[in-house]
Amino acid sequence: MQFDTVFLVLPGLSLDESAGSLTSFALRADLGSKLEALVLPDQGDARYKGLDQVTVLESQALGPANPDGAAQAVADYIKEQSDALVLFDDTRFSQQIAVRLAAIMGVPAVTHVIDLSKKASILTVHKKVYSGSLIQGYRCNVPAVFTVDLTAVPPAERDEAIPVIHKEATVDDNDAQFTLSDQNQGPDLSTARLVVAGGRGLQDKDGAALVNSLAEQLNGAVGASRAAVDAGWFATSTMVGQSGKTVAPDLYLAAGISGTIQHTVGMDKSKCVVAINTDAEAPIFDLADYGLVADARQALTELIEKTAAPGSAEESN
Amino acid sequence: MKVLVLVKGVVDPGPQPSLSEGRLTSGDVVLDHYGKYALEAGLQLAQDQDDQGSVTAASVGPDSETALRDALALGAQDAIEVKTDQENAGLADILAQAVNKEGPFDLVLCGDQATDDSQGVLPAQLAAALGWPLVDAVDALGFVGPRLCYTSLLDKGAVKGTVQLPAVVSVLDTINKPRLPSFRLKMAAKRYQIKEFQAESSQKDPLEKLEMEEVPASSKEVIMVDSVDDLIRALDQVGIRLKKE
Repeated sequence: MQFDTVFLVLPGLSLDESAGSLTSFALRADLGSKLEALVLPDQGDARYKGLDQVTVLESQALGPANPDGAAQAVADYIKEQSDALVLFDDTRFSQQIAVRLAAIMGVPAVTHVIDLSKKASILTVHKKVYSGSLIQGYRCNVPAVFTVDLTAVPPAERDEAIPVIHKEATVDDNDAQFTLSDQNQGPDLSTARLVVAGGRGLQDKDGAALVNSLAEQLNGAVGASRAAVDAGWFATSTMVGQSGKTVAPDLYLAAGISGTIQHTVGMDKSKCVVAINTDAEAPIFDLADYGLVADARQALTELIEKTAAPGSAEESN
Repeated sequence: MKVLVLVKGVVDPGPQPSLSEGRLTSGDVVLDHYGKYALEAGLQLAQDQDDQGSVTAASVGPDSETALRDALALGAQDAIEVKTDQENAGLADILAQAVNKEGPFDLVLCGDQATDDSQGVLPAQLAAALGWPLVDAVDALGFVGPRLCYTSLLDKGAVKGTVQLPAVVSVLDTINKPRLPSFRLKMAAKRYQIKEFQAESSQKDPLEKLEMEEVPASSKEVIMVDSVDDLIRALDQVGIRLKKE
């Protein structure tokens, strides 16, 4: 059993910059089929090199508040293809659609896949389990739905020659409302090249403020461990780890973070990790490139001082 | 209102999981982390309904009993162990049978995933099997009058809406702070007669689980520095310039 087309569903293009990586992931998996991108309306340009076609599913009722509608639209579109493989990224909205799609189609689903290979008609995927401490493999036939962990997968090149088709979709609307979260100053955590992250070692809200100051000064994003968020020092949206975001910046500066696996699974693909902690035995040092055994607040204060632009007044921070 | 909370018994492998032939050999069975949040959400909703609310915990699988007794110790009024005579059977259909036969329930709550597989696929499958609406990624849940209102957290924003009961609701582990078990309930939970529900064997699961593997060890050797000055210098040497010119 061969399958003709692999569908990449990219529902949140303008909501998630990593969507282009899904194309390069699919290309790397060498599936030997057509690759077609399915896109929701007003979600940006999905023309990536390697795709055979981009199809925009058109309906007023399609949007981030309506995952049921999106799943139905995708299911209706691909129902002609009896052996479809459908790939999604693993951002929340995509996950919502993917699991609903798999349920509608009555097919197996594996989420947060880190690799995919195909032999004849058998697909093999792997994912991290037990908070990222072990790897679980699965095997199944098509049809199937996978969501993919695209951390550190580079995006495919753009290609304006890819044909774009618009297809009317009949979708039930719902009454839910989507609101974009307040845009913070500075780069978005998910895609920032530099992240300053704080944990319990910050001691209190004043310590947290140091993280914010340094991030702003270095033009980086703010991250936090679960403990620091639970303590009320940082917003939930800054959480990095199992229950928060997965990031892979060029530099991840972990201040006062012990490095439990629930946290490190969300940042272990960072290119360079700097860890600052008073405990020399803290597990964060196991995956750090550079380590400093010191009080996080003192080190942050010193870093702010020493990385300030020359001539800037101290009180500007 | 009658709430059913799905819980799972999973192995807590500890900080150094050990495998033998692809299977876990370390760790104790515990109530899955995410299920605790679903249970807390259910207990809070039921409490708000005064005497009219009740929470039943249900679980399927070889480690169900531990999960169910823990759920009882946290305040669930009833517990059902769903039994199936076929390993690898379609869980959603089996659970749907239990929900229908042991109900009527107004609400089925579950965590958005479980630590042993991080799948998060079951809530949607169960909702489809029941023909009920699904609300997931829920970070806030409560009644406003007769309507159940939810907030789902997406990566870049939030969705607010209401859902018609009966429904399946899957919650994030940031939705609440689960209560701790009380000694009295723990003792009562030990003696509780857990109800059994025998599900009719369902179709085989088309997804085959392979052996587990260890995550490749980090090849990084940390370079320890003695001061912030040394740190800035070391990073500068590899092209990471923190100091503005």
